[in-house]
Amino acid sequence: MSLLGRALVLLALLCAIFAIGAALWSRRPGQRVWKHSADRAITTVFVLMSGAMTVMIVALLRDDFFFASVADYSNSTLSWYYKVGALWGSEAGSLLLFAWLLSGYATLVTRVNRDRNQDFMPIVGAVMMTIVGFFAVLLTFATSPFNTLSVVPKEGGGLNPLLQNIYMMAHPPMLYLGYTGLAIPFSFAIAALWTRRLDTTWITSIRRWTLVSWLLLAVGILLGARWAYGELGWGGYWAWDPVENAALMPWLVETAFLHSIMVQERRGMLKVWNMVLVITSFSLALFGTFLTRSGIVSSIHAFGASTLGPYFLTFIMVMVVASLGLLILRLPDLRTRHSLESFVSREAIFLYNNLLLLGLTFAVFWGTIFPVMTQIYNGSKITVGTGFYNQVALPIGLLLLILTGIGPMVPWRKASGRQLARRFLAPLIGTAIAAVLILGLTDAATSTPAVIAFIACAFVTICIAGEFWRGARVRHAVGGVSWFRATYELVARNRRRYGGYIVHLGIVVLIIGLTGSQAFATERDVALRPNQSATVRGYRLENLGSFHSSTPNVQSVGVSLAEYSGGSRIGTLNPEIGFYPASQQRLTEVALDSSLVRDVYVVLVGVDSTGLARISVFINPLVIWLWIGGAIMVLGGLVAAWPSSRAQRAARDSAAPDPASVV
Amino acid sequence: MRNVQRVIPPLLIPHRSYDVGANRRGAREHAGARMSAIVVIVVLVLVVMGAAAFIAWPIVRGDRIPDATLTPEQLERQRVEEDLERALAAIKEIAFDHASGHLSDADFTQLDSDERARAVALMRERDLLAAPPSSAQNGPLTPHQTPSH
Repeated sequence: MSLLGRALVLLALLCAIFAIGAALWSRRPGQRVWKHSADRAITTVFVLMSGAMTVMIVALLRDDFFFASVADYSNSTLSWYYKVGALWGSEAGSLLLFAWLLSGYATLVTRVNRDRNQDFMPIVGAVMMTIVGFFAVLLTFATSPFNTLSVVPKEGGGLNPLLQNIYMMAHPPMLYLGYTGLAIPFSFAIAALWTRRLDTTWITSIRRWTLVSWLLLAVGILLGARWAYGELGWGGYWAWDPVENAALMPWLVETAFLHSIMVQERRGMLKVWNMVLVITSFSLALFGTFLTRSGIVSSIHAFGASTLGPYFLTFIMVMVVASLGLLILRLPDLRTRHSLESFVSREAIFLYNNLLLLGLTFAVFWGTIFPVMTQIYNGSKITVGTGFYNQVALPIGLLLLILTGIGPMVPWRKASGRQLARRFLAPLIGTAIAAVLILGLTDAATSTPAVIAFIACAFVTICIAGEFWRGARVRHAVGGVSWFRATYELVARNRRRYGGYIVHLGIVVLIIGLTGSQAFATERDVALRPNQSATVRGYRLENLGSFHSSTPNVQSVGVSLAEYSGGSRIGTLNPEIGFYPASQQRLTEVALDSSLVRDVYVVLVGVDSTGLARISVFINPLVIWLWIGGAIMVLGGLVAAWPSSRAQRAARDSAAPDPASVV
Repeated sequence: MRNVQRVIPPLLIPHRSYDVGANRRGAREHAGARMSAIVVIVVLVLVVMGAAAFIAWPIVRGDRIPDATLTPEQLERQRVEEDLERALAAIKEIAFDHASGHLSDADFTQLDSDERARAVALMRERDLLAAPPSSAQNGPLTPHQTPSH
């Protein structure tokens, strides 16, 4: 089976090379038939990679310890889904998953565009196959999940206990789907540059793909944060870890791109800027995979020491130099006929939003590579603390949040003072009332940044609600339909615009959770003998005694804690410490009581033979709103990305002004 | 089949016991393994042949497919069409903003007339271009262009 897996990957590499050659050859006059052959080769690459994936998954499920990656990262006591998860627990397995997803995207893009974008598709196919080819080269010559052992062990080493978590089953595949999805806009951008078709065609073709990739990356990041919160036991969810940053950076640049393409579509501006954003986001995605595998940074998420760093670095350099070189060659074709008419206009707001997002990305990038730079220049690694990131991210994040509210209210091209006063009067009055309520009814005033954030959230919410209300009012009046129907039709007829507003609303909710949990968290370490209790911020915890449990995979010791609030019992918390014999690792299992107002988060530090339990108690306000905000963001993203039905498209087109009526 | 010699870090996999019996049995199972290797090789040969036939089929069959490239005139026409589409969308959005109370009557009149003037200029430019019929770019292939397979 190992031979089969290796051979399938090698065949996929050969097919990818053929697809590149055939796709490029098909651009010659009279040779278009080669494009069909290239398309078939791309499909074959996906089928072969799927075969290789199947071989690997079957080996994992069958506990075939003849495979080194099965022996190292799985064992017979694991549940079937953790055995499958061991695929991306290993470096080589994760590369195979990466290559498989990429080849899947390439096949899908080829099929969707079979009758469209005919001049782009040979280049798109060639670029995507070059990227797949790179991963196939790594899997064939550098590291292989199909490596075998000369002596077969009786039992495997098992999956890292940290990865034995349901969120970790979804987090890496989602991130990989997001990363690999970025190859599509990149490939179209290269195709547009190559063919000099620099109008909005390529932008229109990739908008939905970019949105899907952005969405998957966002889900991946949120799942990672949820995993860190529930598994790592330090009471937080985001630590500006280099690998977390590696996922955040392309997402930030993609966010900038999704906004700036609207300027190109509407005003024909920012053509070069959009190209730079696409190239940057894909390069950062590659940089993220490099960072995880190079061994240059210390991270709980990274694979151990690896020899893959130079391969990735070389590939990134080649991709960046080639794409920027092509961009420079095409600069004369990218000149725009339009210019910014006013610094107070929708396009100007998008530009400010882009500059802030790019500024934040640069700060995160600098903080991430700073230890590497200091290692190179000083010989000692100086790590940047969370203080640096928070100091930069807080003001930029607040400005971005406020722009989220302002942007949709400002018209395209230019806005007069009178227009602005008319549009912002009601939201500003509403925000002032909200500010009085926040300061009067909550204890938010103890933290100035938190007060500013909450007031900004109120402002943006009022602006978004106003947009929905005004739109629905028009539909209600014109269509004579109910308010509910009017709102539904409003969203359905302009999914992109109102889906975007729902995403903004999700970001507001997410920031409420972020602010509450960062500014008002309480942490206390306590030691409790049996039947003793301690009170932390109004929550009394009583030690009811310790317990033990054992499965073939893990032996646990825990303590039962009765939880009281205001004199009445509201639940029982059972924090545990697990010992995993296969890997000889010890891991804490957090006990969590989550509600809309706060999380009571308890970590067991240790329990002795007398029953004395040492615990860390965290009271984290509003954390749940992070996950609710994330869910709203995903919902908004789905609304924006969902294709309109044929009937809806026809209705929308009929609603557009008739060119004859314009004159 | 290649055997890989690797150093296993003791901290990662500390208590691995090896199935010595399995390795002894390995000799007895050698013939079986050779048989399965033959099966794998046969499968691989079939996969290679199938993939080659699938990929090469359009070329072997000699499909004739017209080239797809746009002339500079078509590109210019497309640019004007896109600008016009943008102007029409802007007129629609200005009307919606006015109806939803975002724009006063005076602002609406000014912005609307600006955008309509731009749309008219673009329509004139489009008419002047007198473009040839568009090719198969960015739309479904016409029946005579559709490959036969």
